[in-house]
Amino acid sequence: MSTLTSIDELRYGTAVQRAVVADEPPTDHALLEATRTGNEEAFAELVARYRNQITSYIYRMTNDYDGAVDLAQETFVRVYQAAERYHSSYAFSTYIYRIATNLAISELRKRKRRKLISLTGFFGATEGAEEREFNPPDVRPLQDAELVDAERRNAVARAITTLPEKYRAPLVLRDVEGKSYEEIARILETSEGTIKSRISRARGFLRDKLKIYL
Amino acid sequence: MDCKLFRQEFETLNAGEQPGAQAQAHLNSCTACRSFQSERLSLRQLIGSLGTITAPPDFDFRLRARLAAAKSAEGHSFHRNRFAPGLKAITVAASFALLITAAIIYRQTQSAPATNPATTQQAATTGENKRQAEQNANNSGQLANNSQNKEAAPVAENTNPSRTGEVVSQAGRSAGKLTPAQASRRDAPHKAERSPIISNDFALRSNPTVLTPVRPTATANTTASPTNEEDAATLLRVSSQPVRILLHDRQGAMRSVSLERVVFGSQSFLERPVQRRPVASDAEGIW
Repeated sequence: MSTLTSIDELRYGTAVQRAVVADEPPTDHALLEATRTGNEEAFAELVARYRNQITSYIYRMTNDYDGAVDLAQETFVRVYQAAERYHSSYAFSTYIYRIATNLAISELRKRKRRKLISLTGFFGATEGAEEREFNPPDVRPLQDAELVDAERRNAVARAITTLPEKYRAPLVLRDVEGKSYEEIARILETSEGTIKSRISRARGFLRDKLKIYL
Repeated sequence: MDCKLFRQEFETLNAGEQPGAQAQAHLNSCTACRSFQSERLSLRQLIGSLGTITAPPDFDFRLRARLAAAKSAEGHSFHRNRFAPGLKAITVAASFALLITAAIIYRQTQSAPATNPATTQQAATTGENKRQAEQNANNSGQLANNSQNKEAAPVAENTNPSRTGEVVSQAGRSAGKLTPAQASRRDAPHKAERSPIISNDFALRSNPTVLTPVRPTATANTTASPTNEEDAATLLRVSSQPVRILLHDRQGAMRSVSLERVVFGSQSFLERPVQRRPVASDAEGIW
């Protein structure tokens, strides 16, 4: 039985001993290794690191706060349950964002199935064109500057949610979350060229929708 | 380099990152690309202004509760599978017993003579019909004795001896004397649904036949006719007059009951022997 050398080793387990000795915060991989051994505190540290990012990301994807919180928790549950099968070939952030993306896209598809009558069908594009929801901007003037900012943010959020899934995820990851193209490509499991193309098209869509705010 | 390549470079710039020298020079010379770059920067700032959404304060608490619930669910399924150690053995034993039972039934089916359940039931019904026929014959015998004995209450008489009729078969039913089984069957018709239906199969027993004595004239006219033909002629010769039955009750009173004749068509042949005389026999009225 090995002896404990510090209180941090007691807290995070022997898997993070080296990082603790070096006086650096434990890496995500080390925390997940500790989680595998049953260290609840290590998993709590992982949750503390990513809960806001994942909640925000899912919220930008779904535009539903309660649903985003629920899906974020489901993301962490899946990380916890699949800790044994985790491979450290990629960054942990890529891994957890991939889970969150899959959950968010599943939720969006469920919503689409639940939608019985689509009013946007009346304004559908011509055959072969990209499917986009009809969401005209509210052009009524507002009195208060704060309300103007709030309205602008809401309009941007609504415009993002009208994007198709394959454009929405890379745009949010790039322009909201600030991820690199390489990481986005790993999260979405596609090539960097595809990601660049999709982000460019998503920005084109948003420019048309948010023209009055530009 | 054309505008398309420069615009791709502008698209891929990180936030706050400046374009390269060539791209910057192109921006200074190309108004469309400068407008494009300005528009893209505004859009990215607009999207970036959305900010980060924070998780609720009870996020960790709810997550722990959720994990605990997931663990307990896993534990339940684990215990359900683990604490049934004999499940496989029981399944194998039950399957083995089922196979043995099926094999025994199959061998019994193959070794036994091929009997149809319907045939068996029919045989049983035939035996029952035979027993009932014997019982009816006994009743007929009793009725015959009773009719010979004048002390019996219902007595059938006829003024004309040649028209006297006698019911030979099923006399018990016609005389009103029913066996207990028949009485219960008659009194409780709703029980017929549960009890087997018993029908009179006249292929197995004789049908009710009215016998009439042979008239002396017909017998005298018959030349060398076999006895069987006479019997057949007797069976077919039914009186055209209604049958009258005299009933003596216990008080000594006598009542007369007239029974209308039943015509089946054979009487018309018998009543017109001249037109339809059969070739096989010279006897009058013989078919």
